[in-house]
Amino acid sequence: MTAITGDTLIGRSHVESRWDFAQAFGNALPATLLFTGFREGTSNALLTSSVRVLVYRRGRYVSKQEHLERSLNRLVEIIAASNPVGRNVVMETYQAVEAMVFDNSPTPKIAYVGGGALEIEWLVGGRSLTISCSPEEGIEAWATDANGDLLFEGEPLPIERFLSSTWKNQGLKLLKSMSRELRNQSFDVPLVSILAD
Amino acid sequence: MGALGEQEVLIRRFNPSDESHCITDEMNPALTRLRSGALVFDSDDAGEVGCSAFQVSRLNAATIPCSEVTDEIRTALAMASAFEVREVEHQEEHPFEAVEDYWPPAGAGQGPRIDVAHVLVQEVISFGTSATRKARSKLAQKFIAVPEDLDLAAL
Repeated sequence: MTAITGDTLIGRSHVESRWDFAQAFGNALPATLLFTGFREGTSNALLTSSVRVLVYRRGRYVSKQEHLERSLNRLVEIIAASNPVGRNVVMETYQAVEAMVFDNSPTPKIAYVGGGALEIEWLVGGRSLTISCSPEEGIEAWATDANGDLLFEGEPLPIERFLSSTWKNQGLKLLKSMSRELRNQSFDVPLVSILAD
Repeated sequence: MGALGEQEVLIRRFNPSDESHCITDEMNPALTRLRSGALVFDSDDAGEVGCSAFQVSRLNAATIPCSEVTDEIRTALAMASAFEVREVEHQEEHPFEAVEDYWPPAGAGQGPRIDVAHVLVQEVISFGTSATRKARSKLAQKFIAVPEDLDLAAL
């Protein structure tokens, strides 16, 4: 608790203060928190009051670099599990992840889906983006809304063409929208109960 | 093998710790749905390609708990209606059908008792390898993990 520099934190704009708060706790909180409603106060008030908390993002802040490292580890796991995935598919999957993730983006989930193919998927608020990387047809992206209806569906492309395609751009746009959705959850809760989680 | 009524609920077992079997919604951790790794399609003697599932109403009628469908590894259940299976669309086609595959048909024979509620999700349209994989991914997305507080026996 002593790590909170509440006076400084709540005296600054919440946009600036969110990372200070996360860093003060070594990113160990269940969520990165964004405060509103306090212009003045002390760290003690912050800890004992019921404050309005905007959950900026569930889980801690994940940089693009960390997304890439996790994805690489996941690819190594998939290969280590003796799934018959070719080098090209692995490399292209990694390239696709690299093109899609950004600081604090939704988390890509990579899975082996049989036939030497890998799938990257994001699922946020019922909306999903899937990128399939197959040995026969290259890269293909499609997305569905919360009802399962298609938002868009691209044709299979070689990785070089996918990276400059409208499908990649549409996917990226969707991920940014998902990211905003993750940030915009808000509710009133006693801060102490969050810290106790 | 008759087609199932649209409102019939199908369940499929999966391994909740296998990332190729399921994905959890990042904003709503209570929502988990299947990925295609949880669906295993095999050909039968007649060359029909299908994936096993179980019909909840048949299990209930036989007073068999739905939890009996799980095994040591695939410890969780996901569900979809026959209608949702049929409405999967790929390349302007509806490639899946849910049909009865109850066993044993006349009440005799051996095998797990849950087989009285065994159904098949059949692939009724053939695509190329990659397109088939994609169609199965779309199908998997229809199967939602059964929420802990949902009593399947009450369906």
